[in-house]
Amino acid sequence: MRITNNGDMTYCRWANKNIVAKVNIRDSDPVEFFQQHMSEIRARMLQGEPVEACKKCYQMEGHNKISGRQRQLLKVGVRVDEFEKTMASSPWLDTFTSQEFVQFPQDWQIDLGNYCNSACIFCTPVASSRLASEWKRIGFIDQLPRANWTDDPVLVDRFVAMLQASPHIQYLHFIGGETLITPAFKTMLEALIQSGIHRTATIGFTTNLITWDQPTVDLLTEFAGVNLGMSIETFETVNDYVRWPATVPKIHETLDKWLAIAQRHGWLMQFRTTPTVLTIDSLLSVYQYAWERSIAIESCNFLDHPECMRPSVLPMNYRQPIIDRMESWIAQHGVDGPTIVNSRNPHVAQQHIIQDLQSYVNYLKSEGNESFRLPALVAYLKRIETSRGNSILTYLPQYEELFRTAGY
Amino acid sequence: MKNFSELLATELKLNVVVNGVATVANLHDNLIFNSDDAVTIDNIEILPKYWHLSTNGTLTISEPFYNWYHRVLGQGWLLTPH
Repeated sequence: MRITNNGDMTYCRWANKNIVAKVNIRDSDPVEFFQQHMSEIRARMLQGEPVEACKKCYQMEGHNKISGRQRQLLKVGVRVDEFEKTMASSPWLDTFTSQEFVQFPQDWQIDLGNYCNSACIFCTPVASSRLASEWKRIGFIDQLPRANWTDDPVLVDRFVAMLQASPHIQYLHFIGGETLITPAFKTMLEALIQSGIHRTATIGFTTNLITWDQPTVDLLTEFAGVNLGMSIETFETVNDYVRWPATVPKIHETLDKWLAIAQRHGWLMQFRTTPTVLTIDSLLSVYQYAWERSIAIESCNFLDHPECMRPSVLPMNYRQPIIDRMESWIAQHGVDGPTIVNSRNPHVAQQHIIQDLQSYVNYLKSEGNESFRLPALVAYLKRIETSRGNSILTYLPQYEELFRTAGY
Repeated sequence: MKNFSELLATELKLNVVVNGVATVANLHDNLIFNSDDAVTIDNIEILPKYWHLSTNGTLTISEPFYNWYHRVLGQGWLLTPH
């Protein structure tokens, strides 16, 4: 289950939150939402109906990228490639067939709010307070987003009490904004430790690689398991433009600290990427780095919004050299093997990296040409650059002709 | 199969081949093999591939086969109702 930055609860961390039925934590208890409000979506799935809000996962699977749907099903023992038999073998079969659903959530994505010291070019005000301020200043928005649900200590207390009352918590994944500067992150970690949940639960969180907070790191070391997600798009300098105001040297400095502590405590490490039209060209640098160190790579989906930043905005003639480089790299590093659904198995990290990169090759080859969105992209970049005093052509000179013809 | 009701109404079996001889087993059956046998289940190699999981010359699968396979493949958590 997921709770979004404004407190809306939704049935899945990957579902399109703009079209799913949702209830706000201010109006309903999380367990009530799980047991009662979600009964409708469960019934539709059991009837075999395709779910519109799951479209992003269907798209990923179409390009042989492991989707969130596949990952979540795997946690109850169900594999899409052997659906009938694995579902019929699942420990959850009797629960799924029961008339009365009395389970508590065991696996959460907790969106803490939009406090963030980054203003990534593809981000939105609801996920970055810094971007929200910038957008308001340059006139993109009139009002700042609704307050973060974690700003209300009563709601945080209610949520923590629900976790403490749960018979079993397996996994809690926290995202921001930036988790390490969000006060509620530390508050919740302390409460989980005080109640003993840290002895069995795994904590996952995503951080932007320009932030470090030693007291929070110390709390994390108390947990039975930690999945460390580190956001980066590329190790080339265009990362400075896309994940503004981060710089690659600062990211290396922070990354080295995370790698050291993760190795010391046996944490699972992952790079979290959001490939866009601006970074797909140099995405390979992350795969190379990750492959050399057996660090997993995971992206939530193929970027859908903002539409003008989808990698598919690149015309085919610009995609081909990228495809060639990726295929060459895969040929040098790849080995055939079964499809890996559990991307968090560190023993097959390298194999999964190759499999994941192949999904981008598939995407670039087959996803329709959306270069008609280039003028919208250029218009956005030009306005944001007036605020930041930079230029995309400094970082991507190879795209000068492309962007000039689109109005740059 | 179009929905969950149809799944529940379908009698699903495991296709077990031991030393070239085919049999069927129920999905939830406990399975016991001589660890020197050549065994496949639903075309998945079990022995000799997982010979190292046998004890005293016997490989015992004492939970639904696909749950066991989930574990030996390193597929991560297998959540259970609480």
